[in-house]
Amino acid sequence: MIESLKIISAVIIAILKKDLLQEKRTKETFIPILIFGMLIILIFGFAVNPSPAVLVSIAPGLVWVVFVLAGFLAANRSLVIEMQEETIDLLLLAPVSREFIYYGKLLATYLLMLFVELLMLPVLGIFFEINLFTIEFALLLIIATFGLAVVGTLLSAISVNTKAREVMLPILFFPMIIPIIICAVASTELILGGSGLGDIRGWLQMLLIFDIVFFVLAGLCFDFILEE
Amino acid sequence: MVNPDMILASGISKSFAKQRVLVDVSFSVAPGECIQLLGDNGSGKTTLLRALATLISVDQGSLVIDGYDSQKDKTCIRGKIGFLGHQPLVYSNLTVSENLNFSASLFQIVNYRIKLSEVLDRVGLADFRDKRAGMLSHGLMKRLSMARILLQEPEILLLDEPETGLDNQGVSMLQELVNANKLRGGSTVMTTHNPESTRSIADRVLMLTGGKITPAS
Repeated sequence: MIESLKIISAVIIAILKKDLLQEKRTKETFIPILIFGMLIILIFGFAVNPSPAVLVSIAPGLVWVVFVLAGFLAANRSLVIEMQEETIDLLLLAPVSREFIYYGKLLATYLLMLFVELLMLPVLGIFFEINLFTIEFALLLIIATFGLAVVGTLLSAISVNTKAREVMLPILFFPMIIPIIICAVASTELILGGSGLGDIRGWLQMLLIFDIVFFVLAGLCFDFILEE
Repeated sequence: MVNPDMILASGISKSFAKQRVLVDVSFSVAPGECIQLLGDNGSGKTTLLRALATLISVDQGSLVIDGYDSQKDKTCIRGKIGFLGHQPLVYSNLTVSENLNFSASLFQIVNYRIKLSEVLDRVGLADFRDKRAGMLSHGLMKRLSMARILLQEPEILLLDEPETGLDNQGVSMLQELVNANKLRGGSTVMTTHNPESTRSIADRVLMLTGGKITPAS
């Protein structure tokens, strides 16, 4: 049992390290999604230009629009990049259950998303005059971003074998993450209004349930999704 | 009862959409045997090899590899297979040694660091170990794929037109790879468009015509 766990974690870590190394070398995902995120912030910042009272009410939604759109790009690259490099067969030939390949890819996507979001936080703070550097928001970011990564990585796998992937992925992704958006925006509104962990606990619990359910389902479906 | 065959395919059929690619394919490969699989373009050679590698599942029939059923024991089968397909399966932004390190981790190869230098020497890539794989020629990438398989030391080699893109030295390395596998009691199934280049290492030749196996004349 311990030996199996060692093997599984070695494979997951190998995939994670490989993806992060590739990203460090090429920055093919990180730079575009950071620029894209910043552009969305700028566009909203100039286009909306509301009074402080209106800004407080729309800021939570704007924050998560930025994170969801940027996160979508990151998740999209997850398995598509294997297809472009024509290396997907190497992962499929690995003598491990395929859900562990998914977990390795998921971790890499998740860490990348978190990193980009952290870089966007101060810019969001400046443009929308909000303070997101709180423990409550950090916890929300960690849990909600995990959900985005779980769904996004799974759907990236679906799009590998689909011809109309540029169309299919957003059509599938955005409806599926509506629960995340609802919970995240509601929590952010409470946090920006000065509420503490106790007040957002219910929303965080719903997010956690979503994350766990989809994490398990994605692992179970992954082999089936990639099978020809 | 011990199964004498390393590979036993019985009544394999596979269709993509409504196109039948493999039709009732049955054959066996003994330990230490090398099969050369010939056929025209579109005859189903690559599909058959990918089915043996568990990269695709078959619609009908059974496939038993070293005693493991391909429907139930895919993970066990994958640990025994060295697959060399049309694509070299290398990451262009990783160096030669990083590519091999990753493969070794993925395939859980023990003590691969000790073998790495020797393997690179055998395929003539020692001078390229720190070079990014994307800067290699197609032939050198093919050698990198062979190095990946040498590290693995699998019991079964599945080679899809392996001589494509290789120079004479590369073809000799390929022959060495197959012969070394035979000496270890491993089996090889190899497709080719150029039977003469690998005829010397093949023990038996099968033809695949319209998705059906026939003995070669």
